[in-house]
This record gives sequence, C-alpha cells and structure tokens, in this order.
Amino acid sequence: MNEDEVDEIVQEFLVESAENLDQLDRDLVALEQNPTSRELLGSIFRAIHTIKGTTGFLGFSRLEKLAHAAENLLSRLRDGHLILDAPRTTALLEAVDEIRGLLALIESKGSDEDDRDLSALMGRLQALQDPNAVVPDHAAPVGPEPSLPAADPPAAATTSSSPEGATDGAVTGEAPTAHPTAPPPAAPPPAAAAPVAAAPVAAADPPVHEPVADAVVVAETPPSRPDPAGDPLPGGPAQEDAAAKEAPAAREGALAAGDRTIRVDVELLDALMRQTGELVLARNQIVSLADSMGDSTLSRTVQRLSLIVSELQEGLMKTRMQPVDHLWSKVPRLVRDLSSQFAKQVNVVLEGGETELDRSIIEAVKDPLTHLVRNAVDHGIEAPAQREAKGKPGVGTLVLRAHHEGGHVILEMIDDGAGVDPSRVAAKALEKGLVTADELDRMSERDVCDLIFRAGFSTAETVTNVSGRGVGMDVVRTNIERIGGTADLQSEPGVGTTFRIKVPLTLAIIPALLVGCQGDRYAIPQAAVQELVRLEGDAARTGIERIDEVMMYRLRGRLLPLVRLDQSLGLDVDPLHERSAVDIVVVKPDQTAIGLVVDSVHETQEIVVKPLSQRLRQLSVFAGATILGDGAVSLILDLSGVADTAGVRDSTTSSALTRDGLSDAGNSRSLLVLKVGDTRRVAVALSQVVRLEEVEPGQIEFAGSRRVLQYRNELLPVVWLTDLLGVPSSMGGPDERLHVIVCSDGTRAVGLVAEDILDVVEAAETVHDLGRSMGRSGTVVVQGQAADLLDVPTVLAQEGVSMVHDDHLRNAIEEMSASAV
Amino acid sequence: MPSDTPTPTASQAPSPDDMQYCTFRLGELTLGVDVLSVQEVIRHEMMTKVPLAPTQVKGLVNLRGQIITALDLREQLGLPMEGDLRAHVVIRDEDEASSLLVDEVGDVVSPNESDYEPIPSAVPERVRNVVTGAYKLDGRLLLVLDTHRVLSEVPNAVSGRAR
Repeated sequence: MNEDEVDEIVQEFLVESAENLDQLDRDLVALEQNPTSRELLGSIFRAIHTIKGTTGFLGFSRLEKLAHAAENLLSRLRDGHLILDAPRTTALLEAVDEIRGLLALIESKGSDEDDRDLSALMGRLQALQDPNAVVPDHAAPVGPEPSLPAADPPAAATTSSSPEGATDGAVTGEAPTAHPTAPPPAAPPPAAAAPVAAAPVAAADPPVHEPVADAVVVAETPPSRPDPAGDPLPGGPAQEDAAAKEAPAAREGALAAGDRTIRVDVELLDALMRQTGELVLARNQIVSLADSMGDSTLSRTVQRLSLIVSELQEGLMKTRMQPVDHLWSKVPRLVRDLSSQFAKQVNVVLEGGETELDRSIIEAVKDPLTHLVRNAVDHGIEAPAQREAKGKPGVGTLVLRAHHEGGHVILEMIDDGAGVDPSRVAAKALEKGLVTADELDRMSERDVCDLIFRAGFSTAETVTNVSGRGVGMDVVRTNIERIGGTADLQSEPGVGTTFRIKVPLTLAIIPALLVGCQGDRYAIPQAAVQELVRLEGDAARTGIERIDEVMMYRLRGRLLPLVRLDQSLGLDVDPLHERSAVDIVVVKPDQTAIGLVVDSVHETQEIVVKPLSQRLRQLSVFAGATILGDGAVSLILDLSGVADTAGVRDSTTSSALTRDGLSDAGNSRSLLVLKVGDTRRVAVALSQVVRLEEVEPGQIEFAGSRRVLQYRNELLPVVWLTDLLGVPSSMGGPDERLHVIVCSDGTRAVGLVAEDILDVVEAAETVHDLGRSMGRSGTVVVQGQAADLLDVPTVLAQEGVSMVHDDHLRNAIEEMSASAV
Repeated sequence: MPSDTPTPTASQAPSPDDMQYCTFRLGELTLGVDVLSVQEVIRHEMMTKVPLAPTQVKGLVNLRGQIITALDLREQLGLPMEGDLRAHVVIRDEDEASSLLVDEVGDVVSPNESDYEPIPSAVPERVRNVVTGAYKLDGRLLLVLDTHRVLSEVPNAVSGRAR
C-alpha cells in the first residue's frame, strides 16, 4: 500500500467517523431519556466499535485505547448490566468529544499524539463499569495515572488477556474469570472485549470489581441474542479475533449503505449547479426563439429539451438540499451540556426537522443558531427554583421549529423563559451608550427589544464563558442577513422569547413572476405571490381608497395596503386614476400582505438568481438579478425591502388595520380620526379597530330599541357616534352609504357610525383631560385640531354587551384577525 | 494595436517599468487601466437600468450569461453627460466584473515610468478617488484609473430606502 492509498483511507475514516460521532451525540442524549433502548445502545456500540476497529488498523493507538475504554462501558450497558445514568452519559459524551478532538488532530497533523492526558477520562470510563460505581459527574480520576503500560497498540490488540492485565487485579480480573465459564460459541464479543483497555487503568481503580458477577453476566448472555454487528462469532478466549472479525462485519454493513450513496465534493456540486444555471438560461433563450419561429418539429424538440433541463435542475437542487435535522441534531447535546453547566433544566422539542434547506444555507445558519440556543439556556430560561416561584414548571422548554413560508424557511426558537424585559434592555442600552434617552423615548417596545441585536450589547448580569460577552446577537443578525435572511425576536417578559430566523430556501433557481414597470421587467419570487388582481373600468377609478397617503384596496372585504412599484423604485409616478386598468400583485413578503401596483403583469419564468455587484447590494429593494429568456437582464425585487420603502410594514398606519386589529394596544399608538357631525373629530385607537365597512343605510335593522347590522351571520350592535356624543347629525340622504367602524376588544364587538373617515395619525403625545363624559376618555390634538379620544372599552362594555355571550362572532373576528396576520 | 480584445499575457509581472495600460477615450480625457485587469472590450449591449442606484451605475448588461454592472464615470470625472457611450471595457476585480462605459477604445501602451506623476492635489477629490496618477504623453495626459477603487467606491450612493 503506498502512501497515497493510506492517506485516502485515513481521509475516508475521518469523514466516516465524523458522521458516526454526530450520530453518537444524538443517540447518547436520546438514550439518557430512554436508558433501556436496545436499539440505541446497539447503534452507539457499533459506532464506537467501528471507530476502534479502524483506528487499530491504522495504528492510532491513543484513539484506539480511548475508543476501547468507551466501548467496554458501552458493552456492559448494552448487555443490560448497567443502566445509563447521568455520570455515565457525561463520561461517554466526553469520550466522544475527546475522540473528535483526536480525529481533528489526525486530520491536521496526521498523528493522534499530543500532550493531553486522557488517562483521567479513561479511568472514569473504567470505574463506571461497576454497577455500584459512585463517581461524581465531573470527578477527577482516582489517583495519578502512570503512562499506559500496554501503550503499544498492536500489543493491546493482541494481548487482551495478557499476564499484566490478568494480574493487575480489579476489573481485569473478569477476563480470566469470564472466559472459562463462557461457552465459546455463545460468548458475545462485546461483553468479553472489556479487559483490553481495562488493564492499563486497573491499578488506579478503586476496588470496585465483582469478578463473580462478571462471570455470571457472561454466562447469562443468551446465545440467541442478536449481535448487532453480525453473526455470533465463535470467539472463545481469543477476543481479539472476535473484535477483528466484528469490525469487518460492521464495515460491511456500512458498505451496504455505501452502495446507494457516494460522497461528492461540494465544489463539484457547486460547479454543476452553476452550469445547470447557465443551461437553464440557454434553454429559456431557445424556448423564446422556437416560439418566434413557429416550427412544430423544433417546438417539440425544444419542449423535450425543456423538460429534461427542468428535471436535471430539480435533481441537482435536491442533491444540495439537506434536512434541517442536520442543524438540530447538535441541539440536544448542546442543551444538555449547557443546562448542566448552568444548573438549569431544559426540555428540547424539535419540530419540522424534515424541512429541507440548501446546504450552503444550513452552513450559514449553524453558528447563529448555536448562539441563540446558548443564549436561551443561559439568559432565557430561569433556574428551576426561580421558575417554580413564578408558577412555571421547573423544567424549561426550548422549542425549535422549522417550516416553509412563501419561498423561505422560517426557523423559530421559542423558550418559555424570562423573556426580554424592555426596561432592562433600555437601561442597558443607555448605559452602554448605544442610544440616547431622547431616542429611547421615541422607540416602541419592539424597537427597544431590537436593540439586543446591536453590536456591544449584553444584558447578562454576570458574564459567563458561554454568552454575555456582548458579541453575538449582532453577529447573529449580520450572518443571517448576509445570506438574504432576517432575524428578529418577539418577547413577553415572564412568558418567553421567540426568535424568528427567515432564510431563503435556496440561493439558486426559483420560479418568478415578471412584472412591468416603466418599460423594464422586474422579477417577483413566485413563492411570495398570493394572487393577481386587475381592476378595470369603474373599479380602476373608484376601487382604490386612501387613508392619508396610503392607498387601500378592499380585497374580499379586507383592507389591503397598496404600494406602487414605480414609487418604491423612485421613478416618476403618474396618477393611478388615469389608468384604464390597474394591475395589483398581492404579495406576502412577511406576515403582512401588500398589494404591489405594477404597470403590467407578464409571464412566470424559472430564473437563476445572481447576486448584484458589491456596490448595488445596499439597495434593499432588490434581491439580485437574473437573465431572462430573451437575454435581457432583469432585477429581482426584494419584497420586504419594497414594503419597507413604502413604510407599510411594522406597526405603522395601514398594516395596523389588518394586522394589529385585535392585538395589544401597546404596540400601536396610531389613531383613526373620524368626522362626527359637522365639525367634531373623534379619534379611535387603531389597535381597537377590526374593520372598516361601508353599508347601505337600509342594512341597519332594529332589534328591540337597538340598531343592529347583520354582520358575518351575527347581529352587530351599531352606535351612531353623533348619538353617543350628543352632537347633531349631518348625515346625508337615505342613499348615502354609512361608514361603520367595527371595534372589538376580542370578546365584545360594536359598530360605530361616523360621517367620514378622515385620517390615520400617530398618537399625539398628550391626552388632555378636559373632563370625561360618556364615551370620551379625553381630548387629543391631531394635526392642530382637537379631537375627542373615544373610550372604546367603555363603549364596548355598554353597547357591545349583547354580543359577548355569542362566541360565534368572536370566533369570526378572531379568525379574521388571525388570517390578516 | 487597435484591438478590441487585448489579450493580457499572464506571465507579465506588473513592475512599474513595464506597466501596460489599456487606453480609452472618455469625453476629452484619455484614461488607462492596467491591461491585466481588463477582461475584454465589447460593443454596445442592451442595458437594464437600476432604479435607486448610485449615479455612476448606468445599468446591468448580460455578458454571456454573466451579469455585469456598467459604470459611467463621466460625472465623477467632471465631464459633461452628453451622448451615449457605446463601448464597454470589462474589468475584473476580485471575481466581480464590471464594465466602464467609454467613447472609444484606444491602444495598449507601455509609457515610460519617468513620465509618471502622481495626481496633483489641486484636482478635485472625487477625481483623485479613482485616478491615481498621470503619464505625460505627447500632447495629452494618460490618466491611470485604479480599477479596484472604481469598482468598490460608492460615492453619491443613493439609499435604497429613498422614496
């Protein structure tokens, strides 16, 4: 075997072992929850055994000894002589870490020798083989460990029942005892394999051996027990034979899987991906060429070509996709380590692990996610006593969830910990000089919480070695944004925190809708497109309403804020009402739907996303560029950026109408300004407004003395604000439609009738208390004019009462606001 | 050598004595870029404009499946924005290609190092940002463009959030 071949084998071994170790991490943590699972134990044992077998073969003796020590403990666990408990799990996990470290050493230096002392760990692994072993979790080894007597790997492999091992007493004693009693064909190699590594550490061991029990153990092992690594081996005293034969057996098992999968260099895949991208572009060009030529034979051939290219592309995409499980497999172990470190109890729930993501994105998300998990365990979830004092279960829960949403994958991490306290964040940000008091005053709670993503921010009272160094959250956000994603958080103090990471599904090929705007075509990722609306004739002139500067369209009764693409792009804007038709693309970049007003709607195309040059990347409205079928370059719109540009996102004006309908008033301080009577102006907190309706006066009916409106199959009480405030009505004729403002607090609902809807404004700073009266909670100054601030809760309590016991409307309203979110 | 596609020789070491420049005319100026940074020279191509982009960005061009950003340096160099520029000098820097729009592509020249002078500080900063120095040729100046700066500088950037 020449050197290259050896290198190749070592390389293969390293890759294979890395995978095995990842699996081990997962299995061990899972096993701790379910300590008797044979399946898990078998899998763990096999993984370690394979590593041990191969290292011995390749001559990495330190690694082999460590693996062997772990294997011995595992074999006893697997055979049911021991139950896996926390100290044993910890020791085994540590062994896995050490093995990983040694593998890294081999990878970098080609040797597993360094000056780290592994004897402590091996001693613990050894000691823990005793069923009664009382070894504290992070116990130091008992006594100093001399250099290993049987350090030579070949010696260790071939002298399992060597004299020194046999005479060392303690655990090694089991070897001579066990073998005579075990009928050769029945001897399960794993159980018998113990002594090899046991020998060196035995001297330092506390007297924990039970030779008799060991002997019984082996004898009891039923010959019929299926050996996970293959057939029962005619082992007998020569355990090294057993081990040696078992290893190939295990390798054969691996090969069986290897028949179906091969390892491919990622760079090769990337290159293939790029070329396929070019092929798609060329295909698109040929398709448009064939269309213009009208040759049926050519068209058929092109169609076929098109199909093949699509399949090729799809297949190649799949090769790059990995389930989110790849990310999450590391989480249970991480959480376990962290929670023991911080003396916390955390239960991890993983959901949606089958969601697939491009591998480059998985890579990019790995570190930020790890940081978030650390943060959650360190700062988020409280200590058990603290939790119980708050009436929460002592064991915290950390949920990681992945799902698709509009061409993106959403990764959520939800903890039920202390949450982010805006006042503490504010105080800290102030102290660190990240913001001024003045700025803080103007910030919403959400914006304040967002400060934790600023560089140099850390709220941890004590700086730990895991988190709290003030770097991290900003890095998390930067890393996510680098791949075109977003990271934000929602938190409720005392209840928990949700981190939401949104990343693109892939960076490569996506279907997109092409829209026209002033002579150029722009691509909108198809996944974000909800529907297309075309307003023609009268509808084009009257269908678009305005609240202040924000245009709205009533899409099936719900207000859809409109954004003009030309305006978002800083282009010249023509008056919409002069158009004979208005095309609206309803898109949902995040949680809020917006209507994008475009000049024209073209076809959909598969496009290859190409990054914009460095100097254009700052343009938040573009996600990239692509080449269309006719060879022209088209810009891809970043809908979140477009929505931001138009200011229709977050808790401002228009979106509040659809989004914050029933949610807390704290977030939104916007006021809906109504005209009541001839001159009175009334302001209603937008957060309490569910819908704005227009109804015919004839639709108002009477139920007893009350006026009601049939609304979603229920009767909604309707109150004229003129009556409520005692102002003379200035309503027009019987034909004039009524503006009904549907208000609700989630349990009660009422419709308020006003003369007109004037505006949506940000709440005025001060509420002047110029005396309260029915329905008024004060006076505010809105755009230089006084307006009555309507006391919606009181109105609801008095007028909305008849609706309360009816859950139906409530459900309808809830459903409505849920779907608006 | 009025070639549209100067082929740089890879072995050429860019020692100061031996620098070769691909020259072109932009308005009344003669400009030169290191020949090694030039990928190719192309004729007018269909261009897609980029709204909200910095003023130098004229548009995006499809160069055999690769999207390159076309830059018009006239404003930055204090030249009048008159007429359409039809030739692209495609330059490459750190894996990213961009094109400089020019009036006319000239020769590849190797001027004498002794004729070189750094750009005087009297020249406006926006020019000095991209022009590193000048060769005093017969009857004209050859201004040396720093391609890296040209491609990475984003002066007068218009924010994407502009309305």
